[in-house]
Amino acid sequence: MRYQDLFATATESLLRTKSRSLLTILGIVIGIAAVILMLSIGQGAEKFILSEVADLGADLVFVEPASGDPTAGPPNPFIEQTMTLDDADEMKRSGLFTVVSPTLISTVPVSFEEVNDFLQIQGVDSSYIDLFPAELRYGTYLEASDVDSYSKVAVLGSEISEDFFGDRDPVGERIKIKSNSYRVVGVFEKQGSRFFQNLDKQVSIPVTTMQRDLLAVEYVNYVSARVPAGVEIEEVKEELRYLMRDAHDLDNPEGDPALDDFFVSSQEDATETIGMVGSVLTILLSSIAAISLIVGGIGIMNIMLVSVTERTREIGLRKAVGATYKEILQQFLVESILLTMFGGLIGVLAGSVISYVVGWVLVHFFLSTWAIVIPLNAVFLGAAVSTVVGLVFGIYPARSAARLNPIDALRYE
Amino acid sequence: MNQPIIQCENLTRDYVNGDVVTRALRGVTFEIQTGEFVAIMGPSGSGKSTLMHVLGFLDAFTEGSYLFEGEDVRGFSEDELAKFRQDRVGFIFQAFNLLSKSTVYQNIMLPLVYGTLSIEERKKRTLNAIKEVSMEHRQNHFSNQLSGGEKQRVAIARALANEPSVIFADEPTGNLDTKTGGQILDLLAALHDQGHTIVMVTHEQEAAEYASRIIGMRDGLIESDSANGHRRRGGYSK
Repeated sequence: MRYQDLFATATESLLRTKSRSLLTILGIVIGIAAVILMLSIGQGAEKFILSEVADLGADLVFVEPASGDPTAGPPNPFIEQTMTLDDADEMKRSGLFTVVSPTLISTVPVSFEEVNDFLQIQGVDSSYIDLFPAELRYGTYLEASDVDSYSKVAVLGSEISEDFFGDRDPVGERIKIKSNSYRVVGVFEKQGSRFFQNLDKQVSIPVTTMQRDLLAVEYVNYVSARVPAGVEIEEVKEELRYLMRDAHDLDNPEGDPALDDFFVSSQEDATETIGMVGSVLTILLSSIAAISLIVGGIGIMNIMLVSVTERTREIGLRKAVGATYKEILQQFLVESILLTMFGGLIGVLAGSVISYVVGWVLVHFFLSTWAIVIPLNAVFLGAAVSTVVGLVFGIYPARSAARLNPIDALRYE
Repeated sequence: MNQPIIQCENLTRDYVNGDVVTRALRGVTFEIQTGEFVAIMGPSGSGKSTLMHVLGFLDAFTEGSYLFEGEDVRGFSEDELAKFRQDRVGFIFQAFNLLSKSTVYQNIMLPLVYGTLSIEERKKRTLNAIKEVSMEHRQNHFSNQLSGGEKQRVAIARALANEPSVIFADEPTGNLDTKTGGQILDLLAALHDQGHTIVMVTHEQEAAEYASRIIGMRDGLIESDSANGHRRRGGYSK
């Protein structure tokens, strides 16, 4: 049998039962569209997260507190209290870094006259802006002297400034953080978000003031530092670990990071972790979508079996006029593959359109930095998978058709 | 004398169903020459349909030998049998067995689709077959738009399309009224007169009388086998 005849015959058979064919492929359409949508969201999320992390800077290292207990869960910089300003000073003295800056974070009530808000306060020193450069709209950034003298001064994010003061320059105004009064010395330009923090809703104050007057604590949440250009960052991280173990009097001859009461990381680590999380997310989402493909495939198999039964006499006749086992098998396989391929095509189109719409809605209403991804590989995957589904779920019905005995088939009522 | 087109010796066919063995054919021996119109008669259960299925390569036989155009078909694989059905024989069924949502033309071309003929040759043979049964005016009608007699004519054309050595007809008038049944038998007789070899299974004496030779079967054996000197032409009635 010629291939043209094979396809012509299969197409004719499918067109004879148009509405049934369309309903049958609905499962495949939904399955493929779901896979593409899920991959789009998964990859979009990964891209979005990576772009947040990428802002951190590739030449920065971060030291966070850790429990030092290998049996404990992952380090949590907001619970452990092992990092202090002394550690930051130690790092400065080591000469490993060009800039070192400690950070303490907390969310507390902030008010100006009648306006109240819960805002994130960032306790930093004057070098923080060298690590994460930002433009100032009004005034100046924190000075080293502010940090040394426990000054009650604050630099506001642009959104806070607008909420509290409207369009005017608030430098010199006094805001209340918790129960203390702070003088505004500067306002940032709009910065957007970094590592999922809305920088425009942050208040920066001297870390010393924050420790003593705001939280009454000794620790910091993390210390950031910049590695000089041309230096291998991994080597610096290793030296930093020795330095910190020394400073903390840790007995850790094996150098097992799980025993340290601190945790050294860099953007690369975060990128790697997020990449992995992204892959897991993508796999998870697409396996859920894949289930709908299997269900769709079973639908195809079911309908093809019905079709074989309905067309028993036709099959008997075809065999009587000379069709071989292989030719009948091929005919029914081509029918199911055509069904699923067509379904896959519609699914790919629908999935791409829906992915675009979902991405557009996210960008315009929720996350302006979200990236719309139409995963090309998923489009090809969708086409390939739908064909395979047709093949796999078509084999059983096609075999039962091809194995029919022509005499019995012709007598079938 | 020419080589017989069909040569059977001691053909048997057993159907095994669990422990029960049914002998549908119990040793059938006969020959059919090119150009004969043979009617196989007999009551239900006489084995006439089984014999036709075996002769037409739709069924295998259990014992004995069967030569078709001198070729021993014993031990043929399914595919080889399919090839023989495709090239050497044509079938006409009691229930017509047309594809109802296909046109007359498509139905007649069906056997050729499985062959290796060129598109032009296929078209030529299909049109020839349509002409032989005088269905030119209906060639683009769907087969479910046809009357019973027309359907059987299309089925005959389909059997002719691959230019077979033998045409097998299984109760070709069984689903037709007397008048159209007579027309179908006349058509078969005309094809015989043109030189076609025809084997027809029937249980009607009057239909059998159109043949040039009548084989009577009973209980899986040939009971009688005689030439029919007074071939009936027309005047068929049930």
